[in-house]
Amino acid sequence: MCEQGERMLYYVLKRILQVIPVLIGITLITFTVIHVAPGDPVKIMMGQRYDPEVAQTVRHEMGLDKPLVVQYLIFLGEMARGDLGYSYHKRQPVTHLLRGKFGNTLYLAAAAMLLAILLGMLAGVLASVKPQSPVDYLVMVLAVAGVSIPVFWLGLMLQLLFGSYLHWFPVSGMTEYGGAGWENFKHLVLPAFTLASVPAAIVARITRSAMLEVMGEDYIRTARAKGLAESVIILRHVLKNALIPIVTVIGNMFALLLTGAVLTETVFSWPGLGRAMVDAITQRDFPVILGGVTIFAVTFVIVNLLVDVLYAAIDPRIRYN
Amino acid sequence: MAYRLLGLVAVLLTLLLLGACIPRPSGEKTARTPAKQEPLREAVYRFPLPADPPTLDPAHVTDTVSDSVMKRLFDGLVRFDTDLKIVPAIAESWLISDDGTTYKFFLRKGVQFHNGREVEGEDFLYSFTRILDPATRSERAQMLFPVKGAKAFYDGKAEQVAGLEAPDDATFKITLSRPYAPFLGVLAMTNFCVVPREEVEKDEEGFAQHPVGTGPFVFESWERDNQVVLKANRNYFRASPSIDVLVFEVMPDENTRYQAFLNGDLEHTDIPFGKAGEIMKDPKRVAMVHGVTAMDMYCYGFQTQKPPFDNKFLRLAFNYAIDKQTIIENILEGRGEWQKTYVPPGSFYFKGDSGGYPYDPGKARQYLGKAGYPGGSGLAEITLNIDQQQLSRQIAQQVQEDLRQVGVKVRLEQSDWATFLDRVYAGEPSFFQNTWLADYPDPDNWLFVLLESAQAGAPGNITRFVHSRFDHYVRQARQTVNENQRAYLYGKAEEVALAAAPWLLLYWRKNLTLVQPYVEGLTITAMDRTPHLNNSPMEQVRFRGER
Repeated sequence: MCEQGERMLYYVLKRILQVIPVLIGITLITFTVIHVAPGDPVKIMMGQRYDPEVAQTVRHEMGLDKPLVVQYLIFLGEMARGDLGYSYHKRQPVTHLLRGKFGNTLYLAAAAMLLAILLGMLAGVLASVKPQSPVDYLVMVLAVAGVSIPVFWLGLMLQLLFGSYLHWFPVSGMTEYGGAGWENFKHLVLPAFTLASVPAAIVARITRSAMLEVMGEDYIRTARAKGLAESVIILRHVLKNALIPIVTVIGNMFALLLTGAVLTETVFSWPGLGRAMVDAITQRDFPVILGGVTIFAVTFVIVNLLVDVLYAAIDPRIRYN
Repeated sequence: MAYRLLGLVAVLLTLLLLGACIPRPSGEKTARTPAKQEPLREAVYRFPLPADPPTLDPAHVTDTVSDSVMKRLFDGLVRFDTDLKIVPAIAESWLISDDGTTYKFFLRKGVQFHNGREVEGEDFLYSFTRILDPATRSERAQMLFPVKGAKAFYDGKAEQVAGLEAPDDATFKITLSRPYAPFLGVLAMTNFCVVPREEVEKDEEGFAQHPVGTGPFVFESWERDNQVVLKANRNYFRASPSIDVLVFEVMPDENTRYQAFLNGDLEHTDIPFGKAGEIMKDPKRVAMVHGVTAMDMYCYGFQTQKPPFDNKFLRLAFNYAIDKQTIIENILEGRGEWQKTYVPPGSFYFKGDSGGYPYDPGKARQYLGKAGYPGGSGLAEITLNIDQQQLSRQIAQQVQEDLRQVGVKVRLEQSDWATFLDRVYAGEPSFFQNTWLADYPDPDNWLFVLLESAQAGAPGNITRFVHSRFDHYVRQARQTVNENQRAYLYGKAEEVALAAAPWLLLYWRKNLTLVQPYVEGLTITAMDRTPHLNNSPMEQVRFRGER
């Protein structure tokens, strides 16, 4: 293996091993916070028919009467074996419960990110080709709107227009009873557009500014002097060299989409991880909260690692020591 | 370089496909295809749920959303009809001993579980014993403690429950340790439905995910937070359902449910906050509105054992200071009925002749004076604790304003439900939101459970109201078999409660529901909460003509 390859492998392994202290730290903080915060999962489970004696039995059977340190160590031991415990509220293994949710969120986030890249980069390139032109102003106005419009409001407006008035797309859920293929895919369209609004706007702005910066470089002037077609200059020379900040933003945005799609998931009744986490917090479902936080932490670490590795792939000048 | 960007897009496309293809955990199949394979178009009823049901096991149901799905899957000995009368379910008839302690149920022949096996007395014995088994961790075990020997069994002091017997295949007998008049109503609760032992014991935890009952619908699939699909039980012992498929769609946002209804994706829904006025002005939509005043209370409670609300006159002053009609008209947009009594309208022995506490600021000021706070002077700022809902905040703001008019300063404190329950059960807040939906339409479910002194705190009496005469009436009523005598006792208890004012009476919710014009036979009862309509008999619903 070449020296650069070895360095890269060592770097990746080091970053993966860093996940362990990160996970212990994050879960310890989360565990402490959820136990210090008011709210008792057994009271929630029993509802407004609370019987202290029955509650004590339930608490004992669930292991909630054990000392907190013991409960945390049990959680760590189970996590090391790939077991994230058992949901109090949903009465299912947490890994089982969150696996499907993570898949649903991944599906939605990937679709939204894809849309954001396509729309955002296209808009950014168009705006940068003729700065200060009406197209540039339009793109920037849309970009500001995309960042500023609250996601839940945009979601409701899309539901109203494409659901209630035009009847083009279903306004909620992920699948249709008896539906397959296109019928189920239609459920993805509105939530993906809604979720894509903020990242598309950010990608458009970053693409525009990065492209404008590169356009001022000497080698672009040289390319023009050589008589290259404008489309070739833009796509092969400008965009190519403007990619680093764009990829950084895309990486971070994707990690945020995976973990922060709660509002979109709620407005469109999308059965994703964000909604499951909010429910778990409301219900004080400690194992699901800890399991979800673990998944979030691992996701962030992996996406950041991928972005870092991608830098080297995009720009060979970047070296990892 | 452009290829690398294409590579990135390809990675996202792969993730998109991966997300779509990630296998759902076993036991969670997505509901698709059968409709496409069958030659005839199925009649599919799309039913909104505001949350994912936590469980589908009767031993664990404590919430109305789970109850809504389970009511369609399971049957008990008795049930409530649409007028909330107790009528036979699997028990064809029953005999109650003169002293009110022995209940003998005669079971219908030919009632089958969804797995095809016939229900026997032994199945009820198993189902009831299972609830009392501490290993089941049933949150409703205490409701069977009136059964003879139940507590000893729960505490591990007996091998079996002395008061439960199945003398033969067609009989189930329950003996109580003392008379418990509302017991039949308790038995109509979903917790006490029959479950097949062989299915539960195959996989106890899994049973809650793929339940087997005897009800009008058979469990088909459940994708958590998305859909629960039930199919019509064509062997149902009562009338077989007209609709073929019941699809529960989990939709947490009320505006989304409303849009889905307008889009034709739901057969019914609730009316979102702030939309009732607009709907009532539209004749086309008004025709779609159904619903009744429910046994579903929204009021405030006082912590009666701590100053300043240990003072009866102050509690009465608060009651007279609030303009309930304005709250109902302006904030609820008509989705409520002024609460004048402690027992809900429609309940057994309900006496509707109470005038309640009409809005009378003058009288409120008089009572403030009697309480020792003339014009509110000397009374420290009161904190009103409510949950996080927008509606709760708006009502609380109106209450705050009404009380300010008589000289009382109120501060609002909103907290999430878990924190709210924790604090109220601990008796910390002095003035707080108090809501209750009937478990069974008997005054016992209100006056005993919510106000008897032994229930103080978390078991139900969160106002910690203590009144010896009141206790005497409701305890005696609980053990009285004679109906006239019970009516008399509850009447007296109601009088005491009205005079002592442990609650600030506000309103009974109306469960107004938008129903598509082609839906027929959907009866919304006073024990339904909308949109999950946990008591409406879905087996009676049918579609008129083409949708």
